[in-house]
Amino acid sequence: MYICSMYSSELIKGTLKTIVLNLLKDNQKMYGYEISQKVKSMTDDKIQITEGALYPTLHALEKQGDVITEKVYIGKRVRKYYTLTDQGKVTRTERVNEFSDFMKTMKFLLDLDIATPNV
Amino acid sequence: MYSITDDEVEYILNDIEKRGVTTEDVRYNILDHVCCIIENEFNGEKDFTKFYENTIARFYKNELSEIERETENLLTFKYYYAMKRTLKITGLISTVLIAFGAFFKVMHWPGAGMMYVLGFVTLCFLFIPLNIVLQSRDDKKKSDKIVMIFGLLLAIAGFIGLLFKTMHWPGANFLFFGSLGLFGLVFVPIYFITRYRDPETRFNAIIHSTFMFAGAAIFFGLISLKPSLPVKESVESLNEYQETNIERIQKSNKLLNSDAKKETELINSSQILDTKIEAIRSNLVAKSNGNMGMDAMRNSLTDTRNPDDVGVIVDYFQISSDENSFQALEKSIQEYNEVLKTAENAEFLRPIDISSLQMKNTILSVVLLELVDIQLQVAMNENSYLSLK
Repeated sequence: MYICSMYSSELIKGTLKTIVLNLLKDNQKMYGYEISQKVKSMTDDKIQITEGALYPTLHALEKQGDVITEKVYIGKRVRKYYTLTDQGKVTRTERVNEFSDFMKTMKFLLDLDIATPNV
Repeated sequence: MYSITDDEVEYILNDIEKRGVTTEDVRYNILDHVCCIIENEFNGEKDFTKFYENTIARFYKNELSEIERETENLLTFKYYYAMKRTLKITGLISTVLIAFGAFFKVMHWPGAGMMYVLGFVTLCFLFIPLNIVLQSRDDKKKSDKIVMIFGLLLAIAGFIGLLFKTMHWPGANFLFFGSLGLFGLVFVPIYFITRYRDPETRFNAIIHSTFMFAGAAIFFGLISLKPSLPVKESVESLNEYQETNIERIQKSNKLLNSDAKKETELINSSQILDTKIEAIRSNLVAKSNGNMGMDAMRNSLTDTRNPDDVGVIVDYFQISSDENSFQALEKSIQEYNEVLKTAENAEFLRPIDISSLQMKNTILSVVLLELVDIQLQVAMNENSYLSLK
């Protein structure tokens, strides 16, 4: 429902936090729109994170202490920039490793021949 | 790139608020995102409002406030599993406690009451409330949720009423029959109507509603079950038989005493005890029937509206310490027995052994029969005393 892509939402559900955490690791400081555009361009429009999924996830990450926010006022608008915390860096590593391991298992399980990404 | 004006920002912010997004943080996030999209994708040629409407529609499926709800859900997500686990555990605990409590109660073993109370408390104050919280978080229709929550609240009231009834606590009937009535006459029809409308749930609506209504009706019949009419009549006839016997003996005593024309200590003591018991009977009948004033004439079993009343025995006989209490009766009997011991021909007179009568935690009709029996014994003693003189 919330993640619009060429993949089924069941497949992508649960990876959104990992995607966001990893993007923040590479790009230091990002705001919501930037994150959604980045994912879109990096995946050639194959994964498009909808706003309805992105902001709840960002709020949850902030509440859990994985990211901190910084408000920048642009006229009457307020833009929130998200940055990884030290805890967030640990969470990112854990989640990426977990996902990588999951992919290896799936690869074995489904007997696929794909390259394992470098983490 | 389109440059968005302050008025347009204001317009968007107001619209987001109007669409039910109350959290400031979420509101500003959406605002900035919409502004970014407009700046990047709007060329200024088309109608701004129309473009905005199309853009904001990308944010949700049914309504914009979904984002806020989803945020709340994600934030409380970690409690969700803990709640589900607690639900399972409390469900198991309450079922086991109530089942064992019921078994212990039937067997008259100690600890039954405690298990019962703990089981029902777990059920009513943990299991069902958790159920309500989890139900309200479900993806179901709003009307379904309200009906379910109403049913669960009725279940709490009904179970507490059932517990009160089992423990003989006051207010049980109001709680139990009130919630049972609401369940059968309000909840089941609402449940049926709301479910029947949906073709998917129509078949189940018929089955569930029938079961629930029949269950409520059977439950009502079982709980309100009273001893059958022949049993009631036989107990009443026994009482009448005893009372006639007392009257006959007392008449004969008067005749015997009119010859002797003597006011002895024993005869006085017999009269005092008899009057005391009459007063206790009147008091119990009056209190059970809810009469404020005491009517000395209405003190028989046939005068009681509720012969199975336990509360009146506990409250006005066992616990109380006034002139009509068990305590006062015990004292009067003791005094009577003392007089009896010193009377002439004492070996032919039988002292009253109140300890062999079970007068506590029992129903009104039994206590009334026991009291009449004591009066009968007093009259018999008096008769023997006067005959042997």
